[in-house]
Amino acid sequence: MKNRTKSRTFSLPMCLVLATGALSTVVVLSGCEDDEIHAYRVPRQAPNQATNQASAPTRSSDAPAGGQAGEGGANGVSWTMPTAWHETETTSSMRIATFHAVDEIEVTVAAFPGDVGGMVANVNRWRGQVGLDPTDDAGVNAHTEPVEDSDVIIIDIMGTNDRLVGSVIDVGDGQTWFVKVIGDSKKLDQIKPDLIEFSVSFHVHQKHSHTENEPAAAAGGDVEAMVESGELNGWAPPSGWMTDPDASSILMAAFFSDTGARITLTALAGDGGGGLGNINRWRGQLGLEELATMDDQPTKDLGDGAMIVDLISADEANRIMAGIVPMGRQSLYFKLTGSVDEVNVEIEAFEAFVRQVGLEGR
Amino acid sequence: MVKKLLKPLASLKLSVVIFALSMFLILAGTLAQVHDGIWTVVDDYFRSLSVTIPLQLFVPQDIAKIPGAIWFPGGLTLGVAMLVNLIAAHTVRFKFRKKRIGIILTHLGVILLLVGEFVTGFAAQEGNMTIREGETVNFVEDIRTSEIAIVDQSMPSEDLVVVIPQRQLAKKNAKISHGLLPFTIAIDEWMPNSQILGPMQDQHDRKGRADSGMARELAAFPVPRANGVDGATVDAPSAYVTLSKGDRQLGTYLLSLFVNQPQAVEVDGKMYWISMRFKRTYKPYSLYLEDFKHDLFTGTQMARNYSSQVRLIDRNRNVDREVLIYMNHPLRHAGETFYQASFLQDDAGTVLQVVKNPGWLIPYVSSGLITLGMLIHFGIRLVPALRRRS
Repeated sequence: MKNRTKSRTFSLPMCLVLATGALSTVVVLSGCEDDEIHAYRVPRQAPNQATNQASAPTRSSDAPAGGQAGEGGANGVSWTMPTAWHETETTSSMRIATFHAVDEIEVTVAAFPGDVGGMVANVNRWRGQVGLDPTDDAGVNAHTEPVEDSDVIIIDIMGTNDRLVGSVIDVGDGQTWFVKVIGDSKKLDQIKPDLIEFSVSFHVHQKHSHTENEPAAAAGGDVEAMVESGELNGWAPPSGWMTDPDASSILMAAFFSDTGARITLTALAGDGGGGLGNINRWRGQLGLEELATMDDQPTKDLGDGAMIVDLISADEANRIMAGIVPMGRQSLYFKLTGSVDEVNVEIEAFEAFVRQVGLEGR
Repeated sequence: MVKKLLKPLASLKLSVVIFALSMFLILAGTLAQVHDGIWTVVDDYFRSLSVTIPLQLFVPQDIAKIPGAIWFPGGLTLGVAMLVNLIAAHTVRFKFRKKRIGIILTHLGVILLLVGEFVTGFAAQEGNMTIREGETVNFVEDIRTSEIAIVDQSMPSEDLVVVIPQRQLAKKNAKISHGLLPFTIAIDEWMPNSQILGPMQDQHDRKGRADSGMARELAAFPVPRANGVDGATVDAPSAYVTLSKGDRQLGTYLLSLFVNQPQAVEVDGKMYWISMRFKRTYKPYSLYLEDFKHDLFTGTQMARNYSSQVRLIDRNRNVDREVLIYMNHPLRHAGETFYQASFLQDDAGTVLQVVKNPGWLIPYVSSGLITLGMLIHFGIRLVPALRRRS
C-alpha cells in the first residue's frame, strides 16, 4: 500500500495567499493605465447636446435663486436687470453674464480679483477697443463720471467709429466688476441710463441660508422696521451732524459733520464681503496697498466682534475711519471720510455713534 | 516547506508592528490634510506603496521650522502586509475545529473587508455629470483630476480625441511626444491650482507668456492647492505649453480650466482643438435633462428640494425612458448610480454625481461575516460558561 500524504498545497489558506498576491499585482499594474496617453472616438454632438467643453470651475451653486423678474446674480453678487434687457447665454470664459439691450446690443458683465490694474489701465484698455490711443491721467478723467453715493464709476468713450459706455463697480467682495457696451452712439444714449441703474444695483448676496420664519436681510434694509423690531438700536446723531437728504437708498443713514466730514451707515447681508475685503477696498480708495491678512491691519476692538479701522492715505491728505459691527445675519458698516483734520475732529463722536447703534444693549 | 516560509509572515509580533505603523500613517495623513486636499492625501498616503512624510507636519511652523522628510510605507503596502500576515497566520496555524469557527468567520470577514477596500480604491469611479436644461450629455467628469484634450474634428460624424492625463503634465520639464499626438507639447509651467488674471489686470512678469490662442491675453499664476474639505472648492490647474512640429514652433498657449473653450492649433493645414478640462469618461448611454426643479421654502433662500427629470437613452440596452432623480432617490443604470448632487446657478441645469463601485456589496458581506463570526464565538463560549455556573 502506498503511503500517500494528503497534499495541502491547494488548501483554502494557500488559495487565499495566491489570490492576494494576484490581486495586489493586478491592482498595482491597473493603476498604470490611467497615466498613459490614449485616444478614443466620440460621435459628433447634435446642436442641443453638450459640446466638448469642460465645466467652468467658477460656477457655484450659492448664487441667489433670483425669484423676482429682473433679479439675477453670480459669484455671490446680486443685481437687478433693467426690464428692457434680457439675459443670453455667455460663451466666453472671461464673461460672467451677457445681456441684450435695445436692438440686441450686447451688454457684458465681467469681474476680476483685486483692483484690476487701476483706472488708467482700464480706461486705456477700453480706449484701445474703440480705436483710440492710450491717454494720460487728465485724458482718463475726461471719460469718468462717478455715480454719487455709490462705488460705481461710469466710463464713456467716443471712439473712431463706435462708442463705449461702461462701469467699474466695487461691491466690496474683493473683486472689481465691469459692465460694458459698445455700439452706435445714439443707441447707447438710450442704453446708458439703464446701464447706470443696473450698475448701482450690484450688491453682495447673502450666502447664509435662512430659517423659514426669518426674512432675508438686504443692503440698506428698512431702518424703521428694524428699529421697531429691535433688530437695530435707534439713534440720535451727535450734535453738529446734519442728515444728507440726497443720500443713496443703499445707505441706511448719511450725515455731514459741520467740519465737512461725511459719515455713512450701511447694512450688508451676512458678513458683507468680509472685513479684509472691505478694508482692502478702502485702502485702495486711499491709494494704499492691499493686505494679505487681517493681522497686518491694526484695529481697535470694540468687543462682540466689532472693530474700528483707521486708514490714512500715503500723502496724509485723506482719511477713512470705518467701524464694522457683525450682527449675525447682517453686518453694519460705519464710515467716516474726509481730510485728516476733518476726521480728527469727529473721531470721538464717530466711535460713540458706532457703539450706540451697533453695540448698545447687546 | 510552505509553512516554514510563511512562519515569519505569520508572526504576531509582525501584526503588532503593522498596526503601529498603520496608526502612525493615519496620524500623518490626518495632519497632512491641513494643507493638502483630502483626495491628495488619500492618494499619496493611503492608496500608495510608499509616501514621503515631511517632518514639519508634526511641529507647527510657528514653533520651529523642521526640514527634511522620512520615507514611510503607504497604506497599500501596510494593507497588503496586514492581509498577508492574517492569511499566513491561518495557513501556519490552521486547524479546523468546531470551536474556532466563530474566529475563522470573523477573520474571513476582515480579510474580505481589506480586499473590498482594494477593489473600491482601484476600481471605483466617481464623477459629475453636468447637464443644462434641454441638453444631452454622455460623459462624466472627475473634478479631482484634469487632462489635456486634443480634438480632431476633420471626420464627418465623429471626433478623434487624444488625452494626456494630469500625471504626465506634472512631470518636471515634461516634453510630451507620442504617436497619437499631432505635435510635441513642452510643459513650460504646470500649476496644479491656479488663478487667472484678465487683460485689464496687472499681470507683472507673466504678461505675454502665451503668444498664441484665445487665452493669450490672460495670465495664470499658481495658488495653494484646494483643501478639499469645502465641497465647493476644487483645484483649477493651468499650464503654459509650447507646441512644436519638428523644428517648427507652433506657439505658446495658456491652457487652463478657466478657459472653457478649446483653442485652435493649425498644423500643416489641418485644425486641432486643444483644451484643459476635467478628466472625462464617455458613456455608452446619454441623459437628456427635460426639467430641473429647485423649490425653496417660501420667503427664504433655503432649498426645500431639487430634482431632475431626465430621459435616459441607452441604445445598447434598448432603454429609452424618463426618470425623476432627486435627493435619496438616485437612478441606477448599467452598474452606475446617479445621485442628485448639486445644480447650476440660476437653476440652469443639474449636477449629478455618478458612482460606479463594483465592490459596493463587499463591506455589507464582510460586516455580516464579522458579526456572525463574533456571535457564534460568543455563543460557543457562553454556553459552557453558563453550564459551569449552573
